[in-house]
Amino acid sequence: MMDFCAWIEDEELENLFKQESDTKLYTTVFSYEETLKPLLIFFGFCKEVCLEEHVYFEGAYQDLEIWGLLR
Amino acid sequence: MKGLFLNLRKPELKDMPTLVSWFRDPEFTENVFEIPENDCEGYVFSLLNQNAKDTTRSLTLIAENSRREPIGLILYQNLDWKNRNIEMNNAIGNFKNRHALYGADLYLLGLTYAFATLNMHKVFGYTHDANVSAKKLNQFAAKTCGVLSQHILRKGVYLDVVVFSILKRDFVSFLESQDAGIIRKFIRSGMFVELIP
Repeated sequence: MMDFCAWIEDEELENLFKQESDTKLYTTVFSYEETLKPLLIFFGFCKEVCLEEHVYFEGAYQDLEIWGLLR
Repeated sequence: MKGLFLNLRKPELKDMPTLVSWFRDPEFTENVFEIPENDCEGYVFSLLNQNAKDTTRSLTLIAENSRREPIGLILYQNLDWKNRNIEMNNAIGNFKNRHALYGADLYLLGLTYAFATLNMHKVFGYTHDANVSAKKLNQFAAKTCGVLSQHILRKGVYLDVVVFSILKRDFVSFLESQDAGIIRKFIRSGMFVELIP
């Protein structure tokens, strides 16, 4: 999306800031996804945005959160 | 679609000089989220070209006044037909037209078009944290979802970005609550008839 940001997947957390140009990492998680959040907190991510009813999944609109980590 | 002062229409090739002049104005580009800082002509041409060919992912509309003068622009991006949400940016072109009534009309037209014509469930948008007037306008009807800290690079500085959103049902409730409120003239113009018959 932007050259200084990078999307990450949970299995790639060990590669945080792999790129020299990465100054910020952000990722999205469903609000109900409680298993991933402790891992994000452990790595220093903060919840920045909660997008209400943003994704239609399993027959209902689900909230989505954006978590970010500055270098 | 008609508002109180402005009408929406698709941009045409003849609008290119006007659009380029807007995008060359630093005050305009400073307040519109995520547009290139140079090559205005190329950007506007690609915008018009894309708008003529395919509006399934993004859509640009011009707002003109009763004298058919272009006043502002609505940029819809990231149209998501499955999740029925859409990113909206709107801006008044010339500085002399940036008064509250045109701004409010453009904003309300943008939301109405997204909900009534595109049948979206949700409209969201981004604004720079320093853009006080855009934040004030968005907070009028929409909710602040959060702040993306140091999220974009502009002129060598990382800027915070505020995320706003509004659901269709909340917009309808907002309009219903405004029958005697500050936007009653807009409501009485009939511009929301598809949402509040």
